[in-house]
Amino acid sequence: MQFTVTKDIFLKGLQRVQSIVEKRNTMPILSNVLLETVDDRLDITATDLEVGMKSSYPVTTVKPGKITVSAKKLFEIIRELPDADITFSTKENDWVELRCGKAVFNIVGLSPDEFPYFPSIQENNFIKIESELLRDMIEKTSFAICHDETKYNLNGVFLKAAEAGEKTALKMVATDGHRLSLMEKTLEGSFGPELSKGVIFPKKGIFEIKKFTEDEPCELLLGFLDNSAVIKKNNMVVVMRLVDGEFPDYTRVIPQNNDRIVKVDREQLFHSLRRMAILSSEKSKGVKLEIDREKIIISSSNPELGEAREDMESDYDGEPLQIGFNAKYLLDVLGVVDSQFILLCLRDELSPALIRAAEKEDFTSVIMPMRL
Amino acid sequence: MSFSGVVGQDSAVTVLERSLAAHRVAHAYLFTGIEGCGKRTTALAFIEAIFCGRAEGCGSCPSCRKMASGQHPDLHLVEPDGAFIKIDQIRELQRQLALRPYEAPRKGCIIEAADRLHPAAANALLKTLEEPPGNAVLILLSPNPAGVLPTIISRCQQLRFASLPQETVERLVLAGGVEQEAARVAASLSEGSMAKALEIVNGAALEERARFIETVCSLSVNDAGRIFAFSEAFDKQKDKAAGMLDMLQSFLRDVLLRLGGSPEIVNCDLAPLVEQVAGHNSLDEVMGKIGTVTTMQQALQRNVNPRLAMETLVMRLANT
Repeated sequence: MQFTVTKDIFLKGLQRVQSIVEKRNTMPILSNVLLETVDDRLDITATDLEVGMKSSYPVTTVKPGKITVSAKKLFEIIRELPDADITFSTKENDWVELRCGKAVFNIVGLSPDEFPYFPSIQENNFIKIESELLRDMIEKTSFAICHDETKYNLNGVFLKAAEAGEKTALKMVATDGHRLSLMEKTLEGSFGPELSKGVIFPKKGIFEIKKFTEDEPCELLLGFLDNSAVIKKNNMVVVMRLVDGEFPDYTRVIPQNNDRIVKVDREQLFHSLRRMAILSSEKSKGVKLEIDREKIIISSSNPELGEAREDMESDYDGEPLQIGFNAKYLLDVLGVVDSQFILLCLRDELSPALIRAAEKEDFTSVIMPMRL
Repeated sequence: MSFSGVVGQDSAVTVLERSLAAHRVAHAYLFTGIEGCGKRTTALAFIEAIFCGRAEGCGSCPSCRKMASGQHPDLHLVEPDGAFIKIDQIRELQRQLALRPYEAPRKGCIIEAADRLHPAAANALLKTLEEPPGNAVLILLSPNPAGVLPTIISRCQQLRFASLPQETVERLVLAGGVEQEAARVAASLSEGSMAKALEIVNGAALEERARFIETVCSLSVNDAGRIFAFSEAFDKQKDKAAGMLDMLQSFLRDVLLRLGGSPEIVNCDLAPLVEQVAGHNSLDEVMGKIGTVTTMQQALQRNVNPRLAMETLVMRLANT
């Protein structure tokens, strides 16, 4: 194998995969990147068996072939090279020779045959999703992902499509057992069998997708292969293994008859909660909400530190109610909702609370109250 | 490694092959049997066959090649880290098993020395063992099933591995290019464990043992100086003490067999010495000596002063 490539392109390609490459040293080959030239294209592949990334860049191929080399060392070498064309060639016994200007590197590689299988991508049954829409959905759900690794089926977000005539409702859900967040978007077209059944995307993979969506808006392609999900953007592909297991039936958790609805200003509540949370206990972050006609009194107390209270206006005309919450859970929700007013739908002091944006219907969050 | 590479475990292999053919592979197995009888080899062969999708791993497809080089991404191995398998190792395993298989039809996991699972780790494993995520196959190996928590055992299908017949061990050791005589002794001392036989052949254990037994037999009460010198030397290698006593016991058993008129002795390389000791001692005397060695073995497990114990032992064994 032999090709010539400019420094900038090679460096960009290698930088992209650094976050994927295995840090723990279980299989030596995973700390390597697979370089493969086909026609005048260089494919750079890296994987940690959980999330894999493949990206293609233009090069001048002299002789096609493939090889794997240490991702970190190659990146460090390329970064330090002068701005000139780099000639990359393989020699016997998986050795690699790098030439740039007057510098010559001979590095040890590993046989490309040992590199884990990377699914080959066909584009025919991909679903098109706007990157902004996907980012919005991930942002509003991912904060509720469970971090307790023993609950493996909650260590990710659940994605499910329900077809309704011409349109399809795409739902994204995450929960950790104390709170749940659900985004629902209606899209055109059909979404294939995997999404109708529902799949769980792993936490690490979701954050890789989020990185994808943070650049300028574009169209992403989403598909499924064997046991993996595939996300494609221009010349880059991310493949992640789906989480094996059943996502709990979240629809039963969403309360249906919470008829005490409080409408509050989001910003105001957000800042007030941040102030009150300072004096709540470090661990449970409990704050008390006393809801009365036209106003809410938010208070917290900690026997070691003291107490705080603040009242704010609200739109409510039902029976007075007292309820306790973990302030962090409320703040997480208020931090991602982008409407001026939110609706706090309650039933009684021990039933789960439902939070929605006042203007939009697509976002739902459920938070379990605390006994204070 | 395929099933044909497993030697002398026909009944266990047949059970596994049948479960593969009937598509009724259990989700958790516990392979029990002495160290070095082929549990691990069989477990690898079984998982290779599952990954390969055939009745037996073909050995040539990419999946089998990765299994052979120990690089398969869907095979997870857990071994004791120090004295125990720790809870963090089990948590990491559970994290790996939560994802769908990478390229194989299902995931495989081998936990070695399951009797060395730390109780906390074993308890963390229970739920995974009962219903592995997806359709993983977990295989636990243990030479000492009595040391495995009953809650673990009850969740696994138990499969017993017999000790290898002496001829099989001898044939395998011979195939490794060892001399006939040494192979025979190693096989007879191995108690059906291939690992132990290889250890005997490769190390200087065989000569060391002969020297040890010869010295013990030659000691005499009339020469107390040698007895004390010997015990002092013994004190310096107390980690080998248990093994040496085992050998001494097996030697005395041979003497007993000789006195009873049986030709089936284990220490065939020491036959003249067996003959000689048998000539000097009566049946009762040999029984008494075996009893003394057993007492010493028990004492060693209870943290005695090895030197004092050895002095007592040698004095009791010594010729009057």
